[in-house]
Amino acid sequence: MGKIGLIIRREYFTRIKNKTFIIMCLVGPLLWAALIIVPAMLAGKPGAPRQIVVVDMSRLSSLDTSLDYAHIFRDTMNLHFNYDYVLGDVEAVRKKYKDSTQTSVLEIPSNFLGGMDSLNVATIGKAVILHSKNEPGHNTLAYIGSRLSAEHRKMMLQRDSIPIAAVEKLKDNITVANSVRGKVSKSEIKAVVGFVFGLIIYMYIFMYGVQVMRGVIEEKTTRIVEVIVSSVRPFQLMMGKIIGIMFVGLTQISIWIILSMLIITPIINSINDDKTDFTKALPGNGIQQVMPVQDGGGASPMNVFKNDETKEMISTIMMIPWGNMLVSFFFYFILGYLLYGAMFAAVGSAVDTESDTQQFMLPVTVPLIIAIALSSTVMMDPDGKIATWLSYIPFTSPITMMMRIPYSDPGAGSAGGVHVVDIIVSIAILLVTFLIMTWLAGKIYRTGILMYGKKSSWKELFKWLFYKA
Amino acid sequence: MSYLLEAKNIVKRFATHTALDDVSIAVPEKCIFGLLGPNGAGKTTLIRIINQITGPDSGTVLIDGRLLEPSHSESIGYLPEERGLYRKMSVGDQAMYLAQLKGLPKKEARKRLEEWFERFEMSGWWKKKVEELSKGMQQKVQFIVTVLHEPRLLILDEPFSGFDPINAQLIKQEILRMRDNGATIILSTHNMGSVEELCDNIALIHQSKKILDGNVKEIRRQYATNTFDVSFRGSMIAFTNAMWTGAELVAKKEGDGICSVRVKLLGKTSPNDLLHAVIGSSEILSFNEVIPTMNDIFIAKVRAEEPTGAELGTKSNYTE
Repeated sequence: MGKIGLIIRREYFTRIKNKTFIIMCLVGPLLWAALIIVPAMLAGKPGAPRQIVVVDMSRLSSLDTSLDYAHIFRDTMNLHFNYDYVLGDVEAVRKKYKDSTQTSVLEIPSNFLGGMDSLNVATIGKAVILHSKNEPGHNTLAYIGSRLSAEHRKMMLQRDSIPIAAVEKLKDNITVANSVRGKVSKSEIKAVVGFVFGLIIYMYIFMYGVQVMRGVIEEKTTRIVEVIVSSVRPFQLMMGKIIGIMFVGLTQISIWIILSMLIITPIINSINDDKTDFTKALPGNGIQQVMPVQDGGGASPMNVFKNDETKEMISTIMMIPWGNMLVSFFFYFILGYLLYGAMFAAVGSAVDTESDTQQFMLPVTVPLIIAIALSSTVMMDPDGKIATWLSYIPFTSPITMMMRIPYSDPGAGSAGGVHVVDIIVSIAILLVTFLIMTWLAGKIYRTGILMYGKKSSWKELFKWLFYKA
Repeated sequence: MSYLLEAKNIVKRFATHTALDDVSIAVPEKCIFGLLGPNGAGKTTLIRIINQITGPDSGTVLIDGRLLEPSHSESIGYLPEERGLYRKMSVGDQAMYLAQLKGLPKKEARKRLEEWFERFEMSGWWKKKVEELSKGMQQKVQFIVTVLHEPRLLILDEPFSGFDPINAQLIKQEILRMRDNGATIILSTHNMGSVEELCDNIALIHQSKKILDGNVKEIRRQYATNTFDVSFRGSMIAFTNAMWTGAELVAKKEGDGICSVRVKLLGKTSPNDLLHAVIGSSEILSFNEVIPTMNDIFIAKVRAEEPTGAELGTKSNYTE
């Protein structure tokens, strides 16, 4: 084995034998699992529902028979409405339940909707109050609010003699199906796929690039570097370190994927066995998410979607050019890491301690951050100017291109978004930049590692580029 | 004489200063060669060039008469002044790694390491992490990994720093043993005592230039200033009166009826002329030529380059 092989082996084995690495391997999947499982558990096994005692001080319900609270507030999984005191005295009712953590009193004030006098718009009060001992939560308030608003709207329409049925028709949502050259697809799924791949590259570069930098600083501060560079060329040491750490990262990610599957699969199965569909519990759907799931005997999360939607999803996933996607992912992942790894190594060589790295870190990492920050712009207009530029600039292309490829149709020629040629050109630019950058970083590195106790600046680094080896 | 290492007309410039200005050294085979000079003189830069850590702007380095090339690094062992080990790595793993980087096969490295660990009484250290060792223990490990591959050329930069006197003595013996076994050693140190004790030849570098080189004994002789320490029983006045005009009294000391003087001979006066002159008036107890120490020569040579020059054999160096 060559000397660079020895270096790679040392970098690899000392790191994977490290306790931190082992702990990270175990904790990573547990965190992922917790992220998925905890909300599912919380939604799957709710506590006792909160009781809401409705007290109507406006007495509207006694006059207007159409105002039927039992009709307005339907019980949900988490909320149970009580109409025993609907015409009671709010103070008395509040006193009665003042120590209960599970009961709130909903006070509909006397001036609500203008009170008994009239349904005068001008005097409509909105101060419906929910009295509770403890925080009832945003969803509870939102649910009550939305139900009352809907009722209020209905009353207004009635007052003006507008037929409700006509208005209801206006509410129909018109959806636009996305058909590109005869293929119907869902953009959201492409966005998610692209973003996940881009994010993996981003995180990998950051986590392991910083490790390269730390490794270089360690060798510098322990002063072992001079012994090593008397045996191997500084460039070999730098590349050995970058490549060794790359394998550490690949190992860690592989372990994460395998362990995550091992942990998550049985839990998903057990949740499905409970006939509770956890996918409904994922945040972001408003109040409906806490509604009990109408159980259609669903054993797989796919059943949540209507049949059409499922088909559409699958066809969208099938439509992503996976061949292009995975092959380019491999190149962008490796080359992107190597490019940044070289830059992180150069930064590490220029400083004595990690705290001195800040002035260099920002300019190095800014392109990565830009690529992630502009991800929504890229996905909104995957063939737009910004997206195109970012996917050729080698410092952003590994992330941006991964976000664009899912939108492309390799069979459609120049009209199909990202063409294979575009990818090849982008990767070629990345490769050339990587070679140049590694060469430059090597020059900075070999000077930097032997400079002790000297505060370096960008100007200094620039000078190092021209020192003779 | 055959030279193992020759550095010819080495020039190395950095952005703001010249580290080596036309420096040449020639290191004979199987000798201990002292590379001396004040801090910042350029010694480390020269050593780094020999180790191919950095390259000269001009000039050549020859090993066995052949231009320096990467494969030479396996026949060189280098103990830098700024040295250390991976703190979190075990002593054994680390030594094996460094030995293999120097081209030793795994088995051979292991065998030799076990021998060295035995000899240095550190057999129990193999699995210890470096950070668990004391500074002196770390230095021992560092020394072993430097010499393990039995390099033909050994470059030791301040090898005794960090060692207690007992271990320093151990290292000294090892250095001499390796020289006797055929290794050539370049020793860079500020400890002039060990230079006199160990070195056969030296080169003195000051402000990027070589200002002195040669055989240690010859240099010392060459820098002798015809000065003699004389101690006698008798009268100081009688002695100085009897002293011929060809000599000059540099320093004197009296006590317990014994006088000590340092006398510098002038012109063509020989030591015997002086003895003849004073022997009638005083009872001579001892008569020694003052041979300057390497320390004296170092200081004198370096000072001579500066505006306020100093001379050898003057009062300031008179110690009894």
